[in-house]
Amino acid sequence: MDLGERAESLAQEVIAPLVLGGPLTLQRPFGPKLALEVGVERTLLDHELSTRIDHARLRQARTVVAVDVLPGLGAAEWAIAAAFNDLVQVTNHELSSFATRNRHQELLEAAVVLCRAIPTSNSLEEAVARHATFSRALRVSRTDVDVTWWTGSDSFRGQEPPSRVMAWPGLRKVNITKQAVGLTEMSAGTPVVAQAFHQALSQWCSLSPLSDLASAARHAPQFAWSDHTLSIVASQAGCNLALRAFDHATNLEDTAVTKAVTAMNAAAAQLPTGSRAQALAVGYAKQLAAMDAFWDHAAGA
Amino acid sequence: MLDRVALHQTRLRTPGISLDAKGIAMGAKGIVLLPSLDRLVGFLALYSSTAPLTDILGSLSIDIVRSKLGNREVTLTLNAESSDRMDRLAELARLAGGYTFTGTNRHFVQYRDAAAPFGYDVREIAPTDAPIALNHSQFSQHYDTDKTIDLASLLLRLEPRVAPSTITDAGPRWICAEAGLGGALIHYFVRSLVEADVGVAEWPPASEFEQTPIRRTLFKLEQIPARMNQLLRETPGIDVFIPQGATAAVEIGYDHPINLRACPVFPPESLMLIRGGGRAPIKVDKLPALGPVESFARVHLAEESDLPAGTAAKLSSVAVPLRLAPTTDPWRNITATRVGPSDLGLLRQLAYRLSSQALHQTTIAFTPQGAFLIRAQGIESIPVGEFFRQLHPKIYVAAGYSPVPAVAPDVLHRAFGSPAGQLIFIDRNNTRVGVGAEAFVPLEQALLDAQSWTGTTHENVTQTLTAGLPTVTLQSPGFRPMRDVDAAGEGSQED
Repeated sequence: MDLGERAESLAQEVIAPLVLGGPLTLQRPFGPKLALEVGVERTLLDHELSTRIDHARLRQARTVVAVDVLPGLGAAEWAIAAAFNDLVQVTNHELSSFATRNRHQELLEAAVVLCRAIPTSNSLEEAVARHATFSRALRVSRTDVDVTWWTGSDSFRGQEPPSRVMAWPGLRKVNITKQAVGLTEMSAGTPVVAQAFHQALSQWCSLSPLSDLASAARHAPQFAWSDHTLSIVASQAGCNLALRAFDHATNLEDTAVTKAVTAMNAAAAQLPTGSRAQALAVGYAKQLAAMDAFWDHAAGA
Repeated sequence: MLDRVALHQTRLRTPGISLDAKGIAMGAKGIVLLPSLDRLVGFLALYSSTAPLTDILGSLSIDIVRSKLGNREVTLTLNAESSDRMDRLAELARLAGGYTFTGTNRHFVQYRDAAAPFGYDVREIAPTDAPIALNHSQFSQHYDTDKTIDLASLLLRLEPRVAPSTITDAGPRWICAEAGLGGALIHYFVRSLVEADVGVAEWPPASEFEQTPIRRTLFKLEQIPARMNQLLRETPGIDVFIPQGATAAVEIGYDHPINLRACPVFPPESLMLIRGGGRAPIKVDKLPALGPVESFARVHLAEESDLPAGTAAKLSSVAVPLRLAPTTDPWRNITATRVGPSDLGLLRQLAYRLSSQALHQTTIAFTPQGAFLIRAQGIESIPVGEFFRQLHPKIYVAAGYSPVPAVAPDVLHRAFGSPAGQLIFIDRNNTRVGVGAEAFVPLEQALLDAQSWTGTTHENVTQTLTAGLPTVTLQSPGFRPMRDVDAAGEGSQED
């Protein structure tokens, strides 16, 4: 399969569902080298899908800034999508057999290497473009199905049970239980340690810094300051974009603001004491708290 | 102190202020703050010179307010209603040296100006118990109401200015003559064939030492002959006034600072005669009955007192046919119209402009003589066809005409035989048409023909705009799933 076909399948089965919603079918792992090459000077051949993706991305971008045109998918975004594919593929139990269990760990390490290799966004426009593409990635879920019948039971991770299992439901007393599994819990049931998976996921989140800052109140993976996020909050315009993204994502609920500020301050404490990076991180957390207090006061008045 | 309201701003901090359809921050009321009474007079003069105060009189309130520091200023409060009215108020207030504010209850903010086209909003509300809190871009001040000024009293207290140009103006006049001069003036007018109405007005005695009421004679003239102008103007005890609206008049040679025609503040049956030269105005609380001066012309009695007497003859019959005679009475109770066949097209066009209430309340009956429409609330909203006045619940007469002899409506109905279930229409040609009451159907039912329609499909816009959440489905990655990853690792090792 050549690079063009891999790119088309990545766009149709991974990028499009991430932007437009719907079933996301994982592709064969890309690895760092292929992921960084797959999007170089790449345009989608399916123009209709390309238009739909562009419209949805523009809609998402307009939640943070008034723009009429958004740049197309860049090489970095293709690589980030490939990294996301590899990260989620780590949780695929079909990836390995009993003799090749170490594939999960290998793929996780390769995904981490890939995340480190993807450059930071060169401009706020690129940061907005990444946010427009990957802002919904943390809301990806998987549906696990448990089926019990009168003589036994079976579980299906992210797959539809075969029809034979569910045949004659009345006679066989078939009971079907569906459970939605969030992205952060997907590693359960694989040889990968959950903490390592969360760390890799955190690194992947930092590749789209506006999305990372907008979801700072998340339970897991814990928010951590990175070069990507610090470069955003270093400018006032970037701060404003991040505050708008946070406002749109959480509607400034008090609990979300408190969690985000706490997480940001805790992450700032990990930075070198007295450094400019720490000052930037603490300053942004203060801005977020001040914005919340201002709107609370305005609403009360 | 104040923030400018931005385009598409949705949240305002000032209570009672909201954005109107144009996006301008406005409250229910407007306040004009003026530093003194003479500025108030100037403002009213400016306003009344271009437009009547009728629109704002219902909600107008003029108060003297006092700030915490004790200085008194004048506020003019009225309903804001629209930004057009407020814009005009603001322009005139600026010209008169005042400020314009808008708000609803207590807190008022500066109305929009060139610096803030969408108005202002306060940055922080200062708590206060004062009834008026004004927030301007240059100051914030709280005021207590000291006194309310009645506009009518203010107008009467204002002394007219000398205006010699009014002496030569032609037109109707009021003349007020003291008691001793009234009779002589009446006979002077009769002799000179001057058409005038005359009446006598009375006032209570000026003091307890007088027993007879004060009487003055009032004349109303459509035109004073030029030869009499000087005599009437310069005779002591006779004052000539130029009418300023229906209830006020200003002495000739003077002009009121405020256009009284634009200020209908005096009671409708009264007459205020405003005199110049520092003299108090004459208030006629109730205008006396006026009659033509010709009634006082000299009469002569005939010398023959015995007149030939007629003898009574037996009357055969006095039955006369019913006729319609034109009448000059004002039109009342016009509740029906007949739209002739030639005007039905006009009625169809008019149907598109009628309000739903008019369509619901109007009934229509189609006859060979045309379509008869009846609306108990008045048929004026359908200005087409020949109008009819409801004389009796069952009888309609052409508008502008009265049946003669002027018998009672019930008698007329009996004369028609009291037909049950029939409405009788008598038009100006004395043609009588009876239309069955059951023939009248609501106009809204009669208007629309059977409408054709076609079904169509709809697109679910909501689904297009709200993207669902991505859901991962797992499947086998195929043979040697790690070959790209391994190749990269080997490549990097080779590198």
